[in-house]
Amino acid sequence: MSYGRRLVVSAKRLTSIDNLVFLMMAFTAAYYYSQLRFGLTLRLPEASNERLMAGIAQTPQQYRVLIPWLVTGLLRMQSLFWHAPQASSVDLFQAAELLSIFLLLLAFRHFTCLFTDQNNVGTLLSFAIFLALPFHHVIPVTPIIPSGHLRHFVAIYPWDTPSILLFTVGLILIYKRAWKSYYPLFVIATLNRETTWLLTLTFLVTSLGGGSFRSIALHCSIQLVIWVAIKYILFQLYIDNVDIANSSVPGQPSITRMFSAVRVDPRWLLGNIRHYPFLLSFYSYLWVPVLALMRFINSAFLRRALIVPVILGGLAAYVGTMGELRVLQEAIPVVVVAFVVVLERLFTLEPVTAIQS
Amino acid sequence: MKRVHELAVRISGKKTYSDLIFLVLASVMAFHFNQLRFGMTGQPLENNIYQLMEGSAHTPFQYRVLIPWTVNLVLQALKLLPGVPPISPESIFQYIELIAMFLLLVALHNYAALFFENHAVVMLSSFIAFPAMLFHFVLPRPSPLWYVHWFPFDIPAVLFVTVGLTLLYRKKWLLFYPLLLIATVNRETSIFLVLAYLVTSIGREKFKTVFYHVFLQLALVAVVKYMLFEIYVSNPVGDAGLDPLEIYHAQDVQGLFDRLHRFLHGDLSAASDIGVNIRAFMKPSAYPFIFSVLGYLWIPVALLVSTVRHDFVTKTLVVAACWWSAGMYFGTVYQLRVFGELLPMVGTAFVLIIGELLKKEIAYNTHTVGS
Repeated sequence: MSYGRRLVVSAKRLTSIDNLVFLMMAFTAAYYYSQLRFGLTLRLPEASNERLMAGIAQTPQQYRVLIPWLVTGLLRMQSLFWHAPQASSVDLFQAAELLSIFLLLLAFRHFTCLFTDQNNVGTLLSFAIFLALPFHHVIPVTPIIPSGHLRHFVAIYPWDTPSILLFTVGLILIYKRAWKSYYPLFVIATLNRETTWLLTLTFLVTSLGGGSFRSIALHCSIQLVIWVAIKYILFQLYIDNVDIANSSVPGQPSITRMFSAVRVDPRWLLGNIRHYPFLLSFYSYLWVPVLALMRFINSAFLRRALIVPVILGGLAAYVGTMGELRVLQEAIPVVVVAFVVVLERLFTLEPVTAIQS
Repeated sequence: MKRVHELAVRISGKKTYSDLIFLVLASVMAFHFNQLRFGMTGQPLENNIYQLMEGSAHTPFQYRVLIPWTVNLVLQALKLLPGVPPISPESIFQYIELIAMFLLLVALHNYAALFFENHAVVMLSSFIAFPAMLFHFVLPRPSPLWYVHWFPFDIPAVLFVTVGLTLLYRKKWLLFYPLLLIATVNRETSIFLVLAYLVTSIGREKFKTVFYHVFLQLALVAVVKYMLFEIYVSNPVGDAGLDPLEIYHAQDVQGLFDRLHRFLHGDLSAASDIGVNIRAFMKPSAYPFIFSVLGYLWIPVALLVSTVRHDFVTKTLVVAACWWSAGMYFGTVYQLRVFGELLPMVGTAFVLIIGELLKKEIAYNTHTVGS
């Protein structure tokens, strides 16, 4: 029996060979993607890896400390065992990126299989995330910046890919109501990036009407407390750092700095129709079939979770820079899984059958 | 389930509505892809658009004259129109590529419609092209960084192969032969359409019919190739320093066979691109890039090819395999744009595989529940 035939027959239970094939493909794709990330992006001098490790980068970038702390810790551990450093900080940041994207593919496969009827198709289509990621993390803004340059490279930050990974795992744990794993993950993810409040929001919208109000309120409160505590500790730790929104006033003691952001006037982007193809390319245009065929999604969890990209998009338009698609990254797993589900439904319905030769 | 089913029937039944959505999306994607192509690639100095228009570029690049000739024609025509502001050749090349990309999405849509009934699936099948083609025509080789070479014939070549396959499937000979002619003037890879006809027709049609068509198609390709060879017989040959290694491109058929003979007897220098390719495959760190053909779609297709239940598509995959093998001799694996024309073959097979896996799974589940 051929590999394809066998995979069809044993769709529910993937064998070790299937898993090995998946792992090899995932690693290959992750390696290529991490190469692209480090070859085709730019680094912001005010938030360089060196400054992040030293704790002197501008805020809010400095608040995203998980990976810089991990790299600093690994470098210190290295010095305990070897006289000469075995790996530079650049190597470690790149390794963290490679590992994150590899683990993201694994986590996303798991997430996809929660909503698809069979593991073989879920596994295969989980690679769709690899087609969506470059639009947020690699492909430059073309050709639309006010300076008149032909392209504007995407900024690379060490927390971006881990953020999608941790968000995906968070979604899985919320779906499974695995709270013992969820809360440690929530702490780690908040240290990585403050966008974890979207996980709380996802929990809220997917739980309303499905459980006791008291339980929902309790979980939301705990998450809110954790989030505020971490944010406040980080705020205090880096209170003297220069802030992105008030770069001329270092050490500004206002608590509002915890939520500071640069608001870029979106009119220069929205005022020119030539910018729209780029602006609409988020999630690799997958949002279009998801939006058009949303009624095909039979999972209430997934349908409700789709509120996240809507809110994220609205916020990005208001406080973020619309030209930076990477700010929409946390919603990638939700949109791509929704697309996979739509695709599966399309194929399993009668009128979709392929015309036989 | 019934409601969803009714909805699917409704959506797939509204052809005008879905066609309009498709055309809007295709325009947006074509424009975005066009921006990326012109922002993220570079022109080789020795074979830039001005040399291609003048006819002084290196062969075989100069043989691919359809678009440069078209641009020359448009520029001449514009001179005849008084009051029309001058347009740069670059702009015309960019417009042509934009139109080619849009038409390619339409062509892929029509090709997928041969195998699927549902409009939504047909649309999605054609839109696979956007992310898949990024890997060939936009994203650079990351390590060491090497930007994609921009040539005016690349996107039209994918378009012609897609339209050619559609016409072959539908046996529209009156349209196929003019297309083969135009496609050959654009790029010599149109010869794979002949191979596609051969492998998809053998055993299904009379030997005599197949023989006549193949003979006619080969004659057409040979005449076009010979004419172009004669027109540009004095041009310099090869990559002209684009590859840091020795160049070898064939100036005549005899030379090609001589090199092939020498190569088969162990002389790797007889075909430097093969040497480059062998060296590339000896570096595992290059594999993620080399294997990113069509955004890795070829891997599930290669593994699950036996699930493709459509004879025509399965046979075109044989052509795709031959194409890739030929690319090993005529091009380097570092230039993924050489394999861009595999898109209609591999992309459609991929979508068919997904459908087949799901269909079989439904049958399997039904059987399990029933028993």
